[in-house]
This record gives sequence, structure tokens and C-alpha cells, in this order.
Amino acid sequence: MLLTVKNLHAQVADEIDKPILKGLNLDIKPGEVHAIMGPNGAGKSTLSSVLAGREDYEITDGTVEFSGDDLLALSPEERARKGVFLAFQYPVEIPGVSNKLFMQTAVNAIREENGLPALDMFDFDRYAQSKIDLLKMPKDLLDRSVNVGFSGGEKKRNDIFQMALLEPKLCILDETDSGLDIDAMKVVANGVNSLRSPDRSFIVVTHYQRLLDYIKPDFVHVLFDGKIIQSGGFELVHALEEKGYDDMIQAHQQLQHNQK
Amino acid sequence: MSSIIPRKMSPAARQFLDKIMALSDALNERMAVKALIEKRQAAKQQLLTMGLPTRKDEDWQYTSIQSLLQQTFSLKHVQEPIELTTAQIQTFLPNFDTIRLVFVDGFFSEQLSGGFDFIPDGLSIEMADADAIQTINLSEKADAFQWMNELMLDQGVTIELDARVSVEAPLHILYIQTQTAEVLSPRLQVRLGQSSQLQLLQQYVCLTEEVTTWVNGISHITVGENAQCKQLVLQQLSQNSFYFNHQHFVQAAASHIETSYIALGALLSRHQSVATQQGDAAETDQDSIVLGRGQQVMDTRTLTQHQALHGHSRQLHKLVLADEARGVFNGMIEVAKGAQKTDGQMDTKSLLLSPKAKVDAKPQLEIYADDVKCSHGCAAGQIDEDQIFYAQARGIRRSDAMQLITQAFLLEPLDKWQTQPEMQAWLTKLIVQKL
Repeated sequence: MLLTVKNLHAQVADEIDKPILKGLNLDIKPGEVHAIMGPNGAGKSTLSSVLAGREDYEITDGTVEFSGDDLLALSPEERARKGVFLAFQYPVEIPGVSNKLFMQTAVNAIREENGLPALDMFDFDRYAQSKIDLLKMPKDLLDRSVNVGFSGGEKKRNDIFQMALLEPKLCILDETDSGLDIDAMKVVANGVNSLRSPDRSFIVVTHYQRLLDYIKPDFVHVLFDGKIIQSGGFELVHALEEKGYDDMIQAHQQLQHNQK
Repeated sequence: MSSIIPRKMSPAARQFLDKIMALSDALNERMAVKALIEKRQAAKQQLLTMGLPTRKDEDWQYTSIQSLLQQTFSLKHVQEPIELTTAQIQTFLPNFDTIRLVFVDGFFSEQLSGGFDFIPDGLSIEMADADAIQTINLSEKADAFQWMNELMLDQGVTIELDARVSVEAPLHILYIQTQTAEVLSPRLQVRLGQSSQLQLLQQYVCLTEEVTTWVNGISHITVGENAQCKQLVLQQLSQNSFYFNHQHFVQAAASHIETSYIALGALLSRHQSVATQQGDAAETDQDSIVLGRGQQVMDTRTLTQHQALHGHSRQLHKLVLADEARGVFNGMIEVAKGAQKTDGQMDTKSLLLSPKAKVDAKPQLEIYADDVKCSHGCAAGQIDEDQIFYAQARGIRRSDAMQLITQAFLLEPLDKWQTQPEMQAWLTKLIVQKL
């Protein structure tokens, strides 16, 4: 198992008594693509943030094991170094820092973790160009400041490019499709598809089914009220498309009521 | 009839003034040039009347000089310049060609200077010449530090550049202080003829961190019609030193000046830059990079006087303050009546790396013309946590992420050196070493 989430409870750090995740369980094997869907406020972004190690959240219960490590005990950079990658819902702008310097620093941090020598400027350039070609990214991407002056679509593309460079084991896409037009979404989906491999897993968090039509996940989970209330295959995406979340939520609430 | 009543001073201020007046008296005996003695005497009277600034003065509200007043200084207590080797000063020198004038404790060192082959016809440099120090007359608005410079006036450099002459290599004036508790009162006068071009680099250093000095300088630079002057002041004094500098550019029509101040050292520093656009269509670019830590107090001030038509001015000031460092920025853009079509813009941005670091920024506009475009921006804050997390999520350590972001923030004004990559690389290295 690559990732095992057990009974995960989390809340915003300074908002006690307002739990967001309320006992979430998830198992991911290498090479699998899991989609997490759910209505607004279900806890989708919280799950992404908690897995990546954002400090705004407090874990109140549960465990997360990643490749045999206690993920929750690691700092965000240690998680990234061990192969967790988060594609942001809103990629951050860093004025004055070139994408090239930023990603060279990041790639060499990961290489250091893996006991590999650092890439110099020329080697990094060559490596980065190969990824730019693979993903059909614009050639000037490296020379620009990190996400500064990028359109929404360009920012998401840049995150996918970073993902390609870092070659992570687990890629978490946090509503990467939000705010994207259909062309930008295809670029993101193509990026993900070209990075799929037997030893790389994905968690695709999304509100809409559209992105999933291009990515075709192996498993689909519906998150509601901090828990996964239903899991299934790709067919679940279409069931949701037809009936919406309401039916499923009502059925779930009915079930809970009956159990009580 | 009432005469001007001398200002009341604190005992510390009075004591400090008495001590430096004694230095001035001794200087009068050693260096008995009549005109200079008269100037020093006049400065003495002026200082006794005006006293030393306190935080009750508006221009000194955020900058206390108490740390300076506690010191005792000497003036040329070494009569002979101490000998240094080029190897000893190598660490301060850039790795590109310059016309280099080196002063050790105020004494010109011919042995350490160099690059004279790069001096073109039409560029004259005069040193220790009474002319430079005699012909700069202080204005009515001169502050106590300018008068103290006059009080201890003993040397100067005059640089004259003929019309239409371009100097390729930067003119590098390096002041190295090797003696503790010495005061240095350098004076620089530069005259640029019509359509001439000069790049000027003034660098202030201490030989070691153990040397504590007080540099109190004045520069006066007149820029002829269509002439261009790119000036850089590099303040790298030891962390316990004191630095005061007042520079004034007077610009003729269509002249262009670029002035940069990089402050990395000194316990207390104050750099005042004044640009007066007397001719039409003059351009003035001013920027600064200030990096403070520990208990450093770093004051940067600009005064931009638009007095003619179609004037243009741009400013970008960046401060990074760590520990308990304090930054002060005061920028004034004055647009005189009749200075129509002035286009002035001033930006100050500060990054505070610790909760105890502080910045006081005061951008000001004073506009008496009605057809102008002027603006100022001012921002201060901490590093954006979202930026740090974004970098961490890519495997970059928190400390490295902070370094990367801080560096990018602080170095922005260096972008203007892109056409001189060696200069840019050298300045980047000097600043990054201190980060």
C-alpha cells in the first residue's frame, strides 16, 4: 500500500469544535488513480491540505501512513522529498524568483533526498526542456517569475510541469480544474495521463466530472461531511452526473438515521 | 533687536559637540589654510546656534543619534597613512575594470589605486585639493551633519568631465577605514559637461569588523545638459560604525541621473539624496537596497525637486529588516509651480523578518503645478506564508524558501544592471553574503 488513511479527523487550527474531516478512510496502491468528489464544504480541499502538511489544520485523530512512514509527523518539505506532490487549487505567485531557479532548487532537494548529485544549471536546463517537450509547454516557461502574470490556466499548467519535474510517487490535484476552460483542462488532463505509471498514484480532487472524463480514474469516492460516503468505479461519476449529489447524500443520511 | 538664541542641547549632545569642536581647533593648527579655517569657524558658530537634532525634530522623528553621541572620535590620529597591500583589500574589489581611487583613513593611496589607463582625455581628477572643499557652499537648509562635515573639513576630491566625453570604466572611489574611532569627512565634487557620461561607484568599508568608524560625507554633482550619470553608493561599514551622507545632484536640461544606495553595514546610517531638476526634460532614477539586522538603524531619504517642464522621476526602495533592526524611509517629491508635465513615481517596499523589526516610511508629495502625474506607493509586511508553503510543497526547506523569497524581494532594484552582468553579479554576491 502506498497510502493508508485511517479514521482521519481534522479541523482548522484556530477553529476548535468545528471538525471538517470526521473519520476518513482511504487506501491507495501504487499506480492507482483515485478521484475524490463531493459538494462544496465536504472537506475536499482540507484533505489535500492535510496530506501535503499545511499548518493551518490540526489533526485531532487518525493516522496517515505513506510508504511506511508516519506522514503526519513529517514537515511539508519532508513529505515532498519523500514523493508527495500537491498541485494547488490556487498556485502561488512568487515575484522575482524565476521558475528556473525555483524548480532547480526543488529538483535538487528531491535528488538530495534520493542520494543523487545536484544538477547544475546546464543539466537542469536539458532535463527541464525534455519535460517541456513532453507536456508541450511554452518554451519561455522557465524564464518567467513563478506564476507571476500567468493566467489561471497557465498557473495550473505550471503546477503540472513542476509535477513532471519532481516525478513524485503520489500526486494530489486539489481542484486543479476549477476556473479552467475546456482547452486548459485538456492540457492538465494530458499532463496527468502522460505521467501515469505503475509506480505513481494520483488523488484527483474535483467538484465536477468533466476532468475525470479525460483522466478516467480507477476509483471514485464521494466525500460528504468529512467522510467518504460512497466508493466505486468510474461509473459512479456518471451516476453523479445524472442524479447530482443530493440523492446520494439523502440515501446516506437515511442510512445513518436508520442505524441510530 | 533679538539675536538668534542658541538651541538648548542635552548634556550628551553638548559634550559631543565640544569634543568635535576641539578636533576642529586642532585641525586649524595643523592645516592652516585661511579659507578653510574661516569655513570651519563659521560652521562652529552655526552648530552652536542650531545644536544637534533630537527626535523632536520632524526630520529626525524616527532616527535617534544617541548611539553616536556616546562615542568619542579622533581626527587623523595617525599622521602617516598605514600601508596596506592590494591583497588586503582584494576582498572589497570588484572583478571588473574600474578607475580606482583608494583612500585609507582618508589618505589617498597611490599604491592601492589603479586603472589610470582607463582615464580618457577630458576627465580630470584632483585630490586633496582645496578647490573641492572650498567651492561647495552649504545651503540654508543644511542640517547639523553637513555643518559637522564642514567643521572637520580637511579633504576632497574634484572630478571634472569635459563635454561629450564618455568614460567607459566606472570611476570607483573606495574609502577604507582601518583605525577605530576615527571620523572621516569626505567631500566629493563632480561636474559633468554637456552630453558627457560617467559611472561613479563610491564604496565605504572598514578593514575588519573590529574597526568602528564615523563617515560623514557630502557629495555635490552637477550634471550638464544631456549628460548622464549613473552613481552607486555602497555602504559596507562594520556593524558598530556610523554613516551619514548627503548628496546633491543638480540637473540641467535632458540630463539623466541614476542613483543607487546599497546599505549593508553601520549601526546607525542615514543617506540623504537630493536631486534638483533645473532644466527641462530631466530624468532622475533613485533606488535603494537596505538590509538591516541586529540593532541597526538605517535611514534612507530622497528629495526630488522638479523645477522645470517635462521632468521624469522613478524610485524603488527596498528594505529587509531582521532581528530588532529599524528602517526609516522618507521620500519627498516637490513639484514647483510651472513644472508642468512632471511625471514622478516613488515606491517603497519593506519586508520584516522578525516581529521586533520595524520600519517607518513616509512618502510625501508637494505639488504646486496643475498638469502633473505623481504617485507614491508604500508597503510593509512579512513573508507571505502561502509562498513559503508553496515552496515547501516542492521539497524546498522552509529556511531555503525564506532565503529565496527574501533575496528575490531585496534584489529587484539590481535588475537595472542587466546590461552590466559583471556589476550585477558582484552586487548580488555582496548582498547575498549578508542575507
